[in-house]
Amino acid sequence: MTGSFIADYLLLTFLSSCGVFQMAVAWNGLNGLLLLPRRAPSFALGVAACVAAGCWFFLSEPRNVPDTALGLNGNQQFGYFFAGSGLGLAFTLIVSTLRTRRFAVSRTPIPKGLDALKDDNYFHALLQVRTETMAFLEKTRAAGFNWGRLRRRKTGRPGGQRRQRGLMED
Amino acid sequence: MDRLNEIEQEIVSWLNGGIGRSGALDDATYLLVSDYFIPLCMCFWMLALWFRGRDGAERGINQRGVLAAAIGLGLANLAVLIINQFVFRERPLAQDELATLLYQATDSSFPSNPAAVAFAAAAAIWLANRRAALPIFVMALLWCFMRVYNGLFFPTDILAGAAIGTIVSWLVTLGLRRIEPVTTWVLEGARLLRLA
Repeated sequence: MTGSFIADYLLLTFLSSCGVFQMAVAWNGLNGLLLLPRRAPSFALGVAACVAAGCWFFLSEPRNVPDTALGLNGNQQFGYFFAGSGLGLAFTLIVSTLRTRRFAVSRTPIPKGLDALKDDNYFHALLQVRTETMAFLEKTRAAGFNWGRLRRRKTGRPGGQRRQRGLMED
Repeated sequence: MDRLNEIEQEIVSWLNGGIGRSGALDDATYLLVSDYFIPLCMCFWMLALWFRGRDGAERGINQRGVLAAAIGLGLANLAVLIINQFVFRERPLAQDELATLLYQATDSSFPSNPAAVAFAAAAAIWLANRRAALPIFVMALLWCFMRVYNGLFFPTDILAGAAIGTIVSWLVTLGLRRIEPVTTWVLEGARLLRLA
């Protein structure tokens, strides 16, 4: 118990969402997001986190309180759920990346979306986005497409002139 | 109309007689009627569904369903809020001596907000993936039954709420198809960040 209903609810959503993420990624083979080295223990950890958080929240205190007193209305529930599960996602991404920092596999092309996390950790997969974007820009330049001309057309001012002026101001 | 109200009151009173007969049943009821337990289970099911799928295409279908459910849930809540500005119906608890394991709610019982929200989520998922919607439908039905059992709603409140939720989600799903490729862009953006 944290002494505040909101903090308790936030903690419940954070712990449970971490558990749900572990169950979901273990079930779907997204090894880059596992918090433990193998899928079965990660799934078990997810179940344990959800059950423990649920038991703690619902059994520690009477929770059937109206939103006019200490409880939360629908909008507040949505907001705190969003915050708690967002924190849970951030925690999962950071901890799984730290655990699998030597796990990264260099492949081209890297699969799109969540499929990239089957063999890669999150931050490595994210870095690949930059590499892919740069490769795409390079390919379009090699094919004769001029991104600078497109920018000039949008702003109505030559990009080169703007860059020069920025340098002079500096 | 009065006759319908009497029949509904009799149904609610008969069901409500179960409260206080068994400690274990009351404990389960206390959890299932809560404002937090079943809604959280539904949300976590949808969160898990976001990752579910053999490949990107199957996952994309589930993710479209989750997006529609999230929007439908909010709009169903808004629809009930608007209707409550014009319609007020006293809770069964206020009309008769009934027991409840929740709190004494005083706002309008018609249409049922929990039914609208739960069925909005269930219908949106059902329109995307029927098998995945089954657990959400079971949770929605259980939550609504518990609300009637605890004397918080009449059966017609639940039916009206469920109809509102289902219609809203159906319209949201149609709307998302109509505004294509915006939905695809949203998912592509998340896919670029390796989150979808």
